[in-house]
Amino acid sequence: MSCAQLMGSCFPWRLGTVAPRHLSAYGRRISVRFCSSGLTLDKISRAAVDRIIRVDHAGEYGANRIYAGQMAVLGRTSVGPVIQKMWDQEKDHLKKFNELMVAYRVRPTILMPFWNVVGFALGAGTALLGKEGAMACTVAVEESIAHHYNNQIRALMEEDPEKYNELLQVIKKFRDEELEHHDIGLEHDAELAPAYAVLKRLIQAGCSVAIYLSERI
Amino acid sequence: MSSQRVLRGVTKLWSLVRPISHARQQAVRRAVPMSLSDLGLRYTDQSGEEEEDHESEEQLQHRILTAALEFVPAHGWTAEAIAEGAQALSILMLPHNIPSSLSLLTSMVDDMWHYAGDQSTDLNWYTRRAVLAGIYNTTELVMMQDSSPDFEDTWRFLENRINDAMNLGHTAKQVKYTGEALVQGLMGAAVTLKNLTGLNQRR
Repeated sequence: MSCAQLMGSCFPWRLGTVAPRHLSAYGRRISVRFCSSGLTLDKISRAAVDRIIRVDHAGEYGANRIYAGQMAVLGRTSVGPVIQKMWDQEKDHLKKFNELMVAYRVRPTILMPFWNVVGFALGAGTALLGKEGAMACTVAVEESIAHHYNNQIRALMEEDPEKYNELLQVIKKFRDEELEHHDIGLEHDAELAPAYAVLKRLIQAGCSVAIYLSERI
Repeated sequence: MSSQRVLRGVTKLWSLVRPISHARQQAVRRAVPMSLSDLGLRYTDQSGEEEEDHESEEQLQHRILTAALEFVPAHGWTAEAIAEGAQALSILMLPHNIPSSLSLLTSMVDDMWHYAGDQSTDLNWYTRRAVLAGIYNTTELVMMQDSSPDFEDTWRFLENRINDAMNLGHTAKQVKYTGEALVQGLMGAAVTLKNLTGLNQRR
């Protein structure tokens, strides 16, 4: 991140700590001093939080699309209500990340339209393998996401638990709900899906690639 | 988000950016012997000043103007100062400076949209910023060559460009709705045909 952009973005980063400023005769000098003293800390945290919110937002969006694909195929079967309930929780997650994205002024990943199509295709494709296939996809994806959230929680805890308290609460809550989905998937015979091990491995590899790309692009 | 609000937001921010462009011109005159990263830094100080507060329009504008006026001791909005602007632009265009001038442009455009109330979190985020960057660049070029009293031509140009952008957005939406309606019509026709030929019935 260039120094200029950092200094320019320094102020919106000061959430909830609006200090009254003197009139601008001294304002410019005060602002430079504040920025230069806070520069190192803000540099690490701003880039880290940026990535975290971007990738989580993309992940929730993808999960939404996966469930949408599954509902499109299995919506009218007996497992429809189960998938619908999980989908509704993912919609809440996405809404929360939309709010966080605007609040922290994070850029969304440019691959959004791609995840739109790929997510739906994955959901619909695995659902076409039957309800076990859909559940296997759920298990694989939720396991990936829970693992990924755990990594983020670890990283944020190591940096500064108090500063990132709000974000940590959100990610912990979402991780717990994703693990619930994982367990629901297992309950509904995910392991009976055709080529379960291979399918799971493939989907988790795809998730890792998606996470890697969304963090950066 | 209504087009009215965006128009007002952008012209509001444009009027704020004006003193900044001006200060930038002065900064260039002083910065040329110094390193060009300093130039980027000073420009962002001004725009940092711009971003930080949610006070009323007048107060904010006053503060920016006051800060800018430190850089503009003797000149007002004279033709000479605007000529400096052309030089400032050309310095920003040096290949050596393009990364930092691009990042300045993107952060400024991001701020403009943020304060106009943009809350998009998908591809719209990118298209809106690209459109606004285009508008800003062309309007700045027009301003450099504008000789009408109080830059009337520039403001008129800006309003026309913003209206163009709004129309583009509306047209795109209408094309999408038309497409969807067309597809539904075709699906309806297909179902009707199936019914007519009896393919829908189970014997």
